[in-house]
Amino acid sequence: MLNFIFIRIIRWSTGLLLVLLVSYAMMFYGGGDPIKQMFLDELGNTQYLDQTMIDSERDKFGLNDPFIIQFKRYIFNVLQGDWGTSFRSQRPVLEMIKPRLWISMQLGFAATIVMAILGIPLGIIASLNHNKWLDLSIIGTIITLNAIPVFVTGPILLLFFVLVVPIMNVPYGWDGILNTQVILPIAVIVISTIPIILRQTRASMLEIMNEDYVRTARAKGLSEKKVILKHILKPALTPVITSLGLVMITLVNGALFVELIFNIPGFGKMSIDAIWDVDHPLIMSTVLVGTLIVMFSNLVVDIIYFFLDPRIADG
Amino acid sequence: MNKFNIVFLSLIFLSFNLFAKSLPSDAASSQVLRIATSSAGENSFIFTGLSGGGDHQNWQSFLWVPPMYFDENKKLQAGVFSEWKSNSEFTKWTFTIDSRAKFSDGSKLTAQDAKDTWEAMANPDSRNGRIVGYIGNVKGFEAARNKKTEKISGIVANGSKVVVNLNNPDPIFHWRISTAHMNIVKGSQAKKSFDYWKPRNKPAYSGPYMLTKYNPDQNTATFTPNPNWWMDEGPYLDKITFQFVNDGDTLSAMFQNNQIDLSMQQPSPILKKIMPDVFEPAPRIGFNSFWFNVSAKPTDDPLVRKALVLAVNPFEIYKAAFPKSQFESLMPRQFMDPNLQCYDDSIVYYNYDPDAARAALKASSYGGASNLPKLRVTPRATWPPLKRGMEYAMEQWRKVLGIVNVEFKDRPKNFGADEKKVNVSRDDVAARFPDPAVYVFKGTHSTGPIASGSMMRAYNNSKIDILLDEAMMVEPTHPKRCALAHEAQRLFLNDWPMIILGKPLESINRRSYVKNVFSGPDIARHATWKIYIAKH
Amino acid sequence: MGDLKNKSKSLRDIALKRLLNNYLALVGFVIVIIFFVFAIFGTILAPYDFLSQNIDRALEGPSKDYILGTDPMGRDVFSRMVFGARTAAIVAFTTTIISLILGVFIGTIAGFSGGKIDAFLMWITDITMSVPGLLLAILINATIKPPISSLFDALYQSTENTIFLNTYMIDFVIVFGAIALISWPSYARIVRGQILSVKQQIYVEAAVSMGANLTHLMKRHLIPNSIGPVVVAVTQGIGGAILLESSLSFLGVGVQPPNASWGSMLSDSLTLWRSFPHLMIVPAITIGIIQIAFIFLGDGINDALNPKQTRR
Repeated sequence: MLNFIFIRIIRWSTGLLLVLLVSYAMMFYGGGDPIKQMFLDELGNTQYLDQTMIDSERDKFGLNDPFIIQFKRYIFNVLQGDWGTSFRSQRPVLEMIKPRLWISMQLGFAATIVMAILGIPLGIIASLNHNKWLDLSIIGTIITLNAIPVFVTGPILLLFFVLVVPIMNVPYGWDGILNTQVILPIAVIVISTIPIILRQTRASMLEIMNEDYVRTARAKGLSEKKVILKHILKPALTPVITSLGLVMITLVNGALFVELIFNIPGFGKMSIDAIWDVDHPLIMSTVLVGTLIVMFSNLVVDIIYFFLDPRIADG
Repeated sequence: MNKFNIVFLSLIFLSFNLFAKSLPSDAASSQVLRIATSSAGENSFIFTGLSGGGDHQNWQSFLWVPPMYFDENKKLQAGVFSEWKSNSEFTKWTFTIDSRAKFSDGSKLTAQDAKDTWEAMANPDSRNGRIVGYIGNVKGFEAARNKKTEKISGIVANGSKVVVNLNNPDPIFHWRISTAHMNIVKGSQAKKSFDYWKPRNKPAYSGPYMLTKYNPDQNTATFTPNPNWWMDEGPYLDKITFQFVNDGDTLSAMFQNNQIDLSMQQPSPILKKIMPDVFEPAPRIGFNSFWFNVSAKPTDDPLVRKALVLAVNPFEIYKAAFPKSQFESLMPRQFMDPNLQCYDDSIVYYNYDPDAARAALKASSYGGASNLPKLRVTPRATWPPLKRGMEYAMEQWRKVLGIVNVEFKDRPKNFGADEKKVNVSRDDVAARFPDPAVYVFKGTHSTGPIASGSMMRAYNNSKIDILLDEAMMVEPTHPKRCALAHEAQRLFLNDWPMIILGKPLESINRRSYVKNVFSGPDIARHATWKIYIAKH
Repeated sequence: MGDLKNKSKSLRDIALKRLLNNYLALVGFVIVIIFFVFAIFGTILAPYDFLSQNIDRALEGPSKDYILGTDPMGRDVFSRMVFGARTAAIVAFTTTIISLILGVFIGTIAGFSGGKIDAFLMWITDITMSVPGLLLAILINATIKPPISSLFDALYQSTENTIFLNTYMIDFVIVFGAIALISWPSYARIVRGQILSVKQQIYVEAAVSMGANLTHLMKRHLIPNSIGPVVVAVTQGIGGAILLESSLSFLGVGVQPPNASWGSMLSDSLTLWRSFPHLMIVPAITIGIIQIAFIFLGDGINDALNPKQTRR
């Protein structure tokens, strides 16, 4: 068991290192001078660009060293807990990431719970009424809501609930997960991600429902309800649960449209701002955290499956 | 109640009234101002006072008082400096600090503070890029800028007098420093650390309000009144809350939903239709144009430039960029801004002339569109009106001149190594004070930002330089200054340097019950101590 | 052998019949066909040139002259939508074909080779899957795109071949090529999974029949079995690619003016939609309909090829 985990940790760590190397290389060989760009963005005109100022800032951030030295220094610092200082805001990166990551996690977790409560029952109902109008209307509505890009439904819903049916204020900032202003952002996240859960539940149920052993159980004379509860739900829901977990993880990285539209100071918004600002330390750290989260969740899923199905342990 | 008690109680009552700010008669009972500003980058939510520009210029005027300032009628007003004069050669300027001026911690604001502040700004670690344009002409500035020393020898602090010695004569030096960018902070704090402004470091403020709460993760802040405010009037507000908001549409929704009272950035145009009382035009000087790179082919050929200009209909590009239903705007017909005092509306740069455009292209060194090298164009921003203007121009060039080989990018840096070859780029020439000579200088002089920077890349017309160098030496009120500026403009426009986009009027963006919100050419709201909330 | 052939033919027939009976899938199919017709023949079908501007008629709602109204430059929205269909189709194809080829290639090698090669390739696959795609696209646009653009320019200078001049292609190749380069893992996994499961069966059969051609048997079982999941993945991938293009345009990455894409039309409408809702509604609904069409089609194909699930 420990061997199993150990191998996987090695695998993911080397993978993470590779991702960091490629990202750092892209920024180093690509984008031009980030410090110069930063001042240019703020000043608006090259005439005010002061080479003295640029050079002194570049030195401060060690940007004049060759690639390998910079990268080694970065990894070394990260392992010691120093994730760098943001070019723009001049704050330690770790200090900036922590509150935002926490907010995104809360949002992701809350949205996942709502998705589970809504999506799984709906998926079960749909599967039990396969191809009848109930099934089709559930599937149809969900897919339609999902097919329109989230950055369209978001502002429309926002304005609808603020101005047309005035039941809320324009949300901004973050007042904690229990504040009512998170209802709409969570609703938007759920709308755009629930199809995955719903369709997976439905497909999983359909697959199990038509398995031979289920038909045997029916033939034996068990009531439909008992058949469903005992033989179908558990095996059908197992992959759905793991899906939920994975969905929650990707939400941390990916709820960025919702964060942008609803002004939530989360991790996704910070990653986009970092790239737009060409803020190297911040970009590297968001890549690091983002990839780390995905890798960690994969590890957890592997472990869960190890317990559920020992045959996979040789993977 | 004995006599002693009555006298004692009366004294208390009296002192209470003396120290209470005397609110205007129509003031509301709740004096809380809710401000929002749209984000140009989460990380620019700072309150340093030293970095001279960026978004924070918009709110620094609540915390510190500038040396002097131009009001909404473009008249110069005293700020921290109550008097200013220069010697006859315009090389030595003496400013007197208002005897009342002091900081929120009670200490007096002295000339040493002015010297220390400007020296801190000159230090490259303060990340102040514009300071070169303000005090670059001061003796000893170079040495401080190159970090050879922390002091600028040309600035002398003499009790309550600040004496500034210049390298070259400048009749309007006092105008240049009349901006919120040059606000004076407590020197000893600024020199100790560039983080001095963070509330935990207990910074001292010279303005009517102080920053008491600051949350960089949520992008919120709170201002409260300065107990040691030194001017006669105000401050009237009990509290100012500050919030970064993501975009113009959200700003509009917040106005509509009564969540904010004042916005530093422009909300989306829909607001003008729904809440017209929010819209009050601010007298800015400057507007956006598309400039030609005279060092890159094919725009190095004046006839090519002429063709590109004449193929554009000035009325249509203006309508495409700023549709009437969305913007209230002006259509400048020349480079000079309509808000400058010697603007002459009889001058017209050009009219739409497709035949002349085709003739010019034919007469150029390329003979026609098929031989023309690729045109690289960028509106240098993602703001839709600028993009629309550029798209309109591109389509005109295709329709009238048959040019199809055009590459468009949102920003110059997206051209990578070809950034220097960008042919058409966008910028505005803005002035923070109403002087036509400096304005024209910025756009046309070979050392100005447009000619020498990334817009025109080494445009050089010596006749223009001579005219403007002379104008710089003329007293600001003398009519000769205007005349020289006009002549320089005339020569400039003959070189086909730009395509004018239009001037959308910027608004002050406050609900009508927020009184005394003023804005002049300096963009920052000035005289912020006068702001109060009226009954509504 | 001949027996086997007949058997698979009738399975195919049954699948087709099932597909045709699935009304939703049919509707999806029709919509997809219409989409491709517009994408290919768009410029002939459109009433106006998608570039031609008429400032006097700007920002008008739907009318007799302009079926879907005009945009801020006075361009016909319908004509631009038609051109946008072409953009969407190119995006969908570029990303799907590149990631399909890459994925099938890598998945096949991994499945057939097994052992260390398989482990290594799966390592690469897992890493690739863990990179957030949207952020990668923006990062690539900010960092690598400018130097590659310059490279294309230099190539044009040296070869005089106008293919390097086409800025339309450069946008696609760089940004969407990048997306394709990280979308292949799902295809790789499907193919590898199929190979592995077939391999298991083969060993059993081989043990029984002794000496039958392994590769031949793989081909016989592999292709019919994997077509289903791959086709479903492809239809989902295409829909996803179109949505991705609109997201990227919203974030400022991707197709540049004057080329039109549904995504850029959407993001251009964001400051105007409150006054001119048609500018947002038209591209949003179109993107939605195409998405739904591909999903229904994919689901229908899946249902048709997996009869177990629908037998009731």
